[in-house]
Amino acid sequence: MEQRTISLQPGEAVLSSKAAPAVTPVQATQVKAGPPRIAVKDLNCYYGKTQAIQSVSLDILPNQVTALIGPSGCGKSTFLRTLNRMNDRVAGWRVEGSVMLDGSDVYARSIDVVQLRRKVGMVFQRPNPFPMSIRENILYGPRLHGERNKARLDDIVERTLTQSALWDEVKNSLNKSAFDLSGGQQQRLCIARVLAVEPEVILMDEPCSALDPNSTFRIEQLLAELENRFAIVIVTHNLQQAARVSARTAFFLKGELVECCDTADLFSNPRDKRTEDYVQGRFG
Amino acid sequence: MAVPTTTGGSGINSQPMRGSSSRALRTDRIFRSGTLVAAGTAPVLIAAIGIALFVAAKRSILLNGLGFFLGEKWKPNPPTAMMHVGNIFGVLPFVYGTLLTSLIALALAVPIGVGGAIFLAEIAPRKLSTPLSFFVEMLAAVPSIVYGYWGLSYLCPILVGVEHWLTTNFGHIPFFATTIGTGTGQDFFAAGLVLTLMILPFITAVSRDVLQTVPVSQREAALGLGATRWEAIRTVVLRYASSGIIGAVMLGLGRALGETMAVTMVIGGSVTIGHLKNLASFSIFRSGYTMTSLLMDQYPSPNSSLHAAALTQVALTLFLITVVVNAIARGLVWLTAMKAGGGSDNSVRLKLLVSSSLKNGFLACIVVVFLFQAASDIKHHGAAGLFGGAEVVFMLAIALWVISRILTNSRWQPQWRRFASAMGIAACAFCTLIAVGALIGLLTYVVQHGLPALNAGFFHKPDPDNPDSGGMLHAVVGTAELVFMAALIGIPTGILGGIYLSEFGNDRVGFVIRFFTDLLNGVPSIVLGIFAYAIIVVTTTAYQGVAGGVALAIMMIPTVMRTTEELMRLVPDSLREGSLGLGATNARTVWKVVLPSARGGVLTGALLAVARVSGETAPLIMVGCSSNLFHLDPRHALASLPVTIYVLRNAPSNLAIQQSWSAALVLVALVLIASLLARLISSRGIGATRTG
Repeated sequence: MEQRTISLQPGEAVLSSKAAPAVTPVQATQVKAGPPRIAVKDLNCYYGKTQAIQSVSLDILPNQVTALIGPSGCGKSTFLRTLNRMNDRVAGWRVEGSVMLDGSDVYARSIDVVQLRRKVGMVFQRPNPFPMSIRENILYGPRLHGERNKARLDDIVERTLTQSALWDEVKNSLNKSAFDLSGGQQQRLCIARVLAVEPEVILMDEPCSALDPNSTFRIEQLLAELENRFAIVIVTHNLQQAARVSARTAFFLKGELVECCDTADLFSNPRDKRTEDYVQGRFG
Repeated sequence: MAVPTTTGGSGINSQPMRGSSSRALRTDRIFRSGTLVAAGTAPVLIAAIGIALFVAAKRSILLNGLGFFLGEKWKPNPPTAMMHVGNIFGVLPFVYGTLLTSLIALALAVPIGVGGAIFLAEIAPRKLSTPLSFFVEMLAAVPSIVYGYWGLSYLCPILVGVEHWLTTNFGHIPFFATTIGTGTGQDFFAAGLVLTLMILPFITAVSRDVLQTVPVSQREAALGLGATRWEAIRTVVLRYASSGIIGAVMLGLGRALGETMAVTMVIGGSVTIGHLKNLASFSIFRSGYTMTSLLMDQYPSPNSSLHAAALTQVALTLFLITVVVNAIARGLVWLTAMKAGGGSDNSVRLKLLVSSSLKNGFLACIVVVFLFQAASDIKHHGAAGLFGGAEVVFMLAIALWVISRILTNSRWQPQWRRFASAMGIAACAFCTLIAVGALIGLLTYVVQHGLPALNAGFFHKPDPDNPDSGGMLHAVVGTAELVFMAALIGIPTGILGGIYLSEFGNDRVGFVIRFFTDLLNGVPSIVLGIFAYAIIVVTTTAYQGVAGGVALAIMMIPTVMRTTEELMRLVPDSLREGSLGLGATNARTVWKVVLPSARGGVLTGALLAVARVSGETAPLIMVGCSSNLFHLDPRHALASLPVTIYVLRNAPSNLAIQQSWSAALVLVALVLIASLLARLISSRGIGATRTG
């Protein structure tokens, strides 16, 4: 197995008493993947008076899967949704700190949220296809962004459905309602729909929690294939899943980032006592 | 100790238990069939209305045959004529009037109503949308007679100018053609506008409820793919809600078709129909009749018994049309709710073809019509004709379309989309503003005109000998009595029926009953009046008061039934199971546990029904329940506020007119207070059930 990268991680995790890793984090990161795609610094988020995220700093690296784990209500989903400003809709929502996407501040006034979300696609907990045909679901994004050429649109449909390993199952029924697909197929359709707008980062909010084991397996396979082209952030409740699919894992607890490092390290050799307790199933 | 106290069983040993359980079974069976009888009133009434109208119209049906439905003329012989020969009865002009006014209303109310609903459900912050929604609901509660009166004395005079402007600028478009103007502003257009205001709150409120059921995940998915807020609403939220919105529109149409008072007061009253040979005859600026307004004008005093039968046949026609429209509305909602989007390849192609040809056909029509207008303007005014109102509007629209096309394909696309999003949202806010503005305008007008005469004199008994003195006590008391009679019959029946639907109505019987209840809810009130007249007043030659009460009661039943059902369904099953688990009978569980938990909601439904019927006019006039005397005997005609307003609208006496406005004010105040109370109770009641 290749050398997984290790993050640069300020905060408690680094200060904890565990021995430093053999390779320095900065070096490893740069060797594998260049600069981070998304860099989050000192992020604080509030729902009204409740603080949901407390000074979190975390980098999302290109071409690999980052998993966010932690017990319910730990802020991992909230964190995910700050990355494409999906929480803007929530009344009383407030953000401090910075989220940089490719060097520009996501929360800057000059940012067009629409363009941001094109670059940072999102897959949701439950499959949420639109009430349209399979084809129209895929083409929703490209059409919004002005693609009218029929040949190119057809090409997008085939390419994204192939990428999401759905093409063979639906190529003869592209005009069928997306609601007629099974749950697992719907979720792969939703992934294809995101791929169709050619994002750089894909956020996945517990994408398998509503699926059966077999569909989950298909999605995980898919993640392994997509990993080479996108920066993927996946929130999951399932520790085994995090271990299977991700290169790096971040452990959240009560709105704080406890620890973020190489997935294998986090599970076998956690630096923080709380991480150790969680991954060994003592709570959560 | 878990002892079913109703049965009196007291022991744990098997003997009394068996006895009590069989008695419990019997109680439950009685309870079930009792509520079934109440619920069954809806289908029975629908059938009874059809039969009674058919019987009363039989002579006309036999005599006129098919000619009735194809005839363009309506000329009953004068009352002095001895013979039936010479009567001409054709319903077509009234069907035409009803459809034309309803279409005008839909064309205006659907975009404004859906826009307002979008604003309330999707855009406005909660603090704004709650009071605004309430405002819109109030607008729905204002009695139609008040709309009509306001339309007659405020709107029509304004419309004279508006219509003049429209005919000068758009006169070559058939619908806006100048024809022999009435000069009073009382025409199809006025009727359509008043109808718009009446169905607007209804469409807004129902569409808002539908929009709120669209899952958040749909919006987030669209936003996540880079849709602007407006794009997400337009392409995903509306699409998801489309079946429900179509249902709301159809229900609105059902209301528009059956609306009587507001239309009668502003439509001018003449037998009018358009002819294809002369397109200008389709002008909406002609006075006319709808089916309902014809009935209102002629039914109370027919020239002959055949005339009365022919009028009843008009009512029967109206009844059938509304039943069909409402049935289609329900069917559509069910059908489209079952399957969303997509289909087989061919059906998708067909759908695309139909929708694109509809859209293109519509656009082509508009273009042709405007070219027509422009051509005749140029013919009449030369080059200056190019800058008439129609041409300017047309050119602006084209310019806007071209600009949007260019910008969508340019590098300014993101900016353009943000701008379009802001415009869409602003348009929706504007739609809400229209609805709210109309309510404020209406209320202000009624208060201004109603306050001066609302003094102690208003509550005096009437003085038939001297129109310049006396008061309206007879109408106030009469309304109270009529509503009381209606409530006495309607509320218990409705509540029992609602219990049946919510507790036992999950099978096919419940489905059928629910369907007929909704149909009954859509039957025009004027038809109910004619029904009550046919079965009570005709057979007893008296009892107009009772007949009025019965007609109003029939109106209350479906409202009370469906609200009771809906609110009892909100009561969690765990409560029922808790009670049944302790050994209580079904009947006891419902009475002591479920109904009390839903008490607030049930009371709300009853209050809303009372508010709705207390402003009803048409059925009272149909049964002949109109009086200018003070008395309490329901065997005779009773006075009521809405009927008095209608009767006095053209009164010669100044005081009478002032007092009729005061009557309108009292009516509006009553209805609004009842709605307000209902709102307060339900917000507390439902809250309690939900947390409980």
